[in-house]
Amino acid sequence: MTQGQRSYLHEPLWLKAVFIAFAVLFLTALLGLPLYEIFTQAFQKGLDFYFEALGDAVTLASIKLTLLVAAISVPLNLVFGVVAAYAIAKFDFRGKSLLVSLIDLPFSVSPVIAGLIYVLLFGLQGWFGGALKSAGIQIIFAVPGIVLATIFVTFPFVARELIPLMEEQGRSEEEAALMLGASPLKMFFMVTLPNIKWGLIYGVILCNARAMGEFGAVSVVSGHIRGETTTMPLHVEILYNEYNFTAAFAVASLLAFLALATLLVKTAVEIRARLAQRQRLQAGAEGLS
Amino acid sequence: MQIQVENLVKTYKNFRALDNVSVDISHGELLALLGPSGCGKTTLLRIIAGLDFPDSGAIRFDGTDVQTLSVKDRNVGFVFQHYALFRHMTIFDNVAFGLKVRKRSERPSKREIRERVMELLSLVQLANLEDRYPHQLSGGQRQRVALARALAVRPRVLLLDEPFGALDAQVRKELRRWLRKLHDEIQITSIFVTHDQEEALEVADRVVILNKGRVEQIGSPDEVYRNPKTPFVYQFMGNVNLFHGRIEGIQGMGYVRPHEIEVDRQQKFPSDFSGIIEGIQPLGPYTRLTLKDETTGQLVEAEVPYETGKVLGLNIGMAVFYRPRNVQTFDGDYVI
Repeated sequence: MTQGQRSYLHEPLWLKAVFIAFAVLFLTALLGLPLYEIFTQAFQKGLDFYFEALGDAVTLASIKLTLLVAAISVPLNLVFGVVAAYAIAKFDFRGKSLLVSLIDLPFSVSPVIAGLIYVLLFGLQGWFGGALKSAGIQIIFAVPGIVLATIFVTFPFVARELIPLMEEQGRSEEEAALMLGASPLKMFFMVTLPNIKWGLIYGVILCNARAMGEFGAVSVVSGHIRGETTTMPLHVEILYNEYNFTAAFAVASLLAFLALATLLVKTAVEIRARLAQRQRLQAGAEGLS
Repeated sequence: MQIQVENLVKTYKNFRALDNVSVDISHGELLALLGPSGCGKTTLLRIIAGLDFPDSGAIRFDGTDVQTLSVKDRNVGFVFQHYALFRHMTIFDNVAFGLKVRKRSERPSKREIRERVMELLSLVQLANLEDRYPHQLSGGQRQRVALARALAVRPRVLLLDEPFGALDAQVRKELRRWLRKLHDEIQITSIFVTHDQEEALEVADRVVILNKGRVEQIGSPDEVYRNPKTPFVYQFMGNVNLFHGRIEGIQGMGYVRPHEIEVDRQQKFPSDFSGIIEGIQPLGPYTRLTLKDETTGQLVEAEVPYETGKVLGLNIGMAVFYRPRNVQTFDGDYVI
């Protein structure tokens, strides 16, 4: 009888093998091979050439610009994400569903369109183009435009990560804190923030990865001025189009490293979160004895 | 502290949660707000706490209007149905929270905080669990931590929202007896919300019965049980049989509780009803019978002591006689 039940509950061996083989093949072809290709291409002409390619002034400028853009857009989206998620998860108000769809908008809009919006708004022929020009402010084909476009494409990450978490946690811990006499600020830092800590770190990591890797939206507003408005992804494209493959792959390998590092940190965060939970359990067990 | 609630009205969109509710709570009293879900009892509690705001009406603590006071300044202790303990803090830190968040000038010293927390933890019988985290405790323990946390700031009034609602039956019974005892010890004006009439009757000094945002009756547990003012209260406080104009001397609807119906195999009085036993349900100390009236076909529930049932030798399908011992009507008079 158990034999019969087992065959209902488990697929036959050959079917398992087929599924597993398919999954492995798929992952190798789509993720493994490209990664392998990036690194072999990058190191094709040896380590010296690799570091020389990275040490190039224009390349260094693109790395610096990428870091600058991430350093501005990630903190802004961190604050925005926390505030928006707090409002959406803990309060009822008119236009809440509209706000939720607005937050999702960058996920559903093509990044190219996102870039174009800013060109149409702040470009020379755009709505505010004349006013900005007479004020001597340049947004499009300059760093501010790149930052704006990056903020736009990355702003769902933190909020999206936090909304379900905060909704699940509900409002009563915050209410309890207020009833016990905590000021709103103390309530936020002593109750709300510790509760969302891991989700927040997770969201920031994803947000950062996207901010550094964004191509489409940034490409539209950048103007591709070498050494001034090219971020790393844009620089990779320029090098590639100039048939400077090894240099292109060298810069690409940095982005790949970033992706791998992101993955590593992400995994570490997950392990830490689980560990913290276990430590609590242990502390509790000792407290009992 | 004395609390006056006057003509409170609260409307959510198209739903009237509170409809002109007035209640006076005297000093040191333990008051139950009782009613079915959606009757407005939790809304009333949250408004007293300052977590919600009424459309109109007044709330006074010792004669002073508190509506302009923030949650913080009302100095109210609140116990949530699902505990709302701070999940990332130990039990100690949970209970100490209200003292730790005070402004430096008003904050007790570390030693004083420790003493106060330990004193409270032993009051709620949880001494030596202070290093644990909420998720390591049972439901009943968590609720007692929540109570200790609320009491730590020496509130003027204690509000409890369905405090035992998420616990299983046994723990629930223990905890409500314990709460009653605790209240007698510390004598703090307390209001608790419940949908369980047994709980309200057992624990409270007085019971406020709410229905659809209105007060149906306010009185001592005995009063609301023995002397219900409205059909709603009567039905809410226990099982009920309806006799429509069929009992001598009663016009309209007569209400009879199942345990107030006597069952016999022989007719004793000419007014006895006759019926057939359709179901027998042994419920520990008593047996519940479902009778089908022979003239009307109406189903009547009767509860007889287990021993009586045994002596009568009741069986399904047996013809019996029954008579209500106590009939409640709502034009004001009893008939026995």
